Amino acid sequence: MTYQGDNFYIGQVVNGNSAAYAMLVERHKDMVFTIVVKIVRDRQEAEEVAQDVFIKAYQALPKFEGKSKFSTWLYRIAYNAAISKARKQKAEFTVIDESLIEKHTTDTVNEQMEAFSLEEQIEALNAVMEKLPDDDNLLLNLFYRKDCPVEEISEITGLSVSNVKVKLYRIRKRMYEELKQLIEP
Amino acid sequence: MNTNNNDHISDDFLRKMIRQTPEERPSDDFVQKVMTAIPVSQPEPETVGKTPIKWWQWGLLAAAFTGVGYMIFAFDFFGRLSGNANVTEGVDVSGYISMFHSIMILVTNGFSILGSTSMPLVILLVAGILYVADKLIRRKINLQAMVMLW
Repeated sequence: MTYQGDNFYIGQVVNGNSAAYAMLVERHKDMVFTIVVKIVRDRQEAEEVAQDVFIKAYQALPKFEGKSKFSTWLYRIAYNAAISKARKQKAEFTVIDESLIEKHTTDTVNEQMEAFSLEEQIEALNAVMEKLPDDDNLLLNLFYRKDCPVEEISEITGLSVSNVKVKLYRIRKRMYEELKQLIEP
Repeated sequence: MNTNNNDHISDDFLRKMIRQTPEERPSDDFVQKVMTAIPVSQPEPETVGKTPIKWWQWGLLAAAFTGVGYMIFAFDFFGRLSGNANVTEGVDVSGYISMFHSIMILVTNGFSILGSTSMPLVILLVAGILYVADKLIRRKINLQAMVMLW
């Protein structure tokens, strides 16, 4: 069945057809889960939080004013719920010491990485991403995997557009630094 | 670092690498689990049209309006106002005075009729009128909001 756009299904739900909400859940479940799991880290807990996010969004749907895209509004709810859950867990994450970061050309890392097999590349990248703080991990995924515009990331996370860009720049530098340490003999 | 463009964060190598890692997905029955929880948590009723004024505030408003009306009636406010109509210079206010005059006559006549009844009854009546007016205005605002949303 062709997806008819978020607004169509929102209208259906608001007018009493709650079954139409399944289409919105199906459409956005992967992204909501990605946002939550990158922050909460535990898959089982992330799934529970993601379910709560959709239930909360359903209850608040009549209040959705359409000022931003439905997806942005929903992802913002997911982000806040995940942050709240992570705070409750009081989890401690490894923070990379910024003083270790030196200026390196990314080309060196690119060349060295390409010498590895795909599995080894993925393994190296996963190891590096695991070390990143939760927020940074999420920003990486939103920007480089999901192609989320910086402006939308700004709306979801509540950070300013400039702040998102600065953070992405620093994360990128850290990634290369960590990769370099990992692959160099 | 220039944050006006995305040059410093654009990175095809990183993009390619990240996309090679498996994407996080919820369990297969995720939608079903959410939809099972939905019927017991119906959307919250529309709150835009609900008046934020409490019952005792309606009473106070009604008492205030009744008091103003009673003052107009008891002290012949309209007569005094007409007497001072020529005080304003340079502005043609005769139209407004005339309109206000008609409203005052209506109010005065209204209170003349209600004057024989008890004050609590008048307050109740005014509260009812205010409540209905508030409902009508809110319904109109609500309709406009719906039109803007869609």
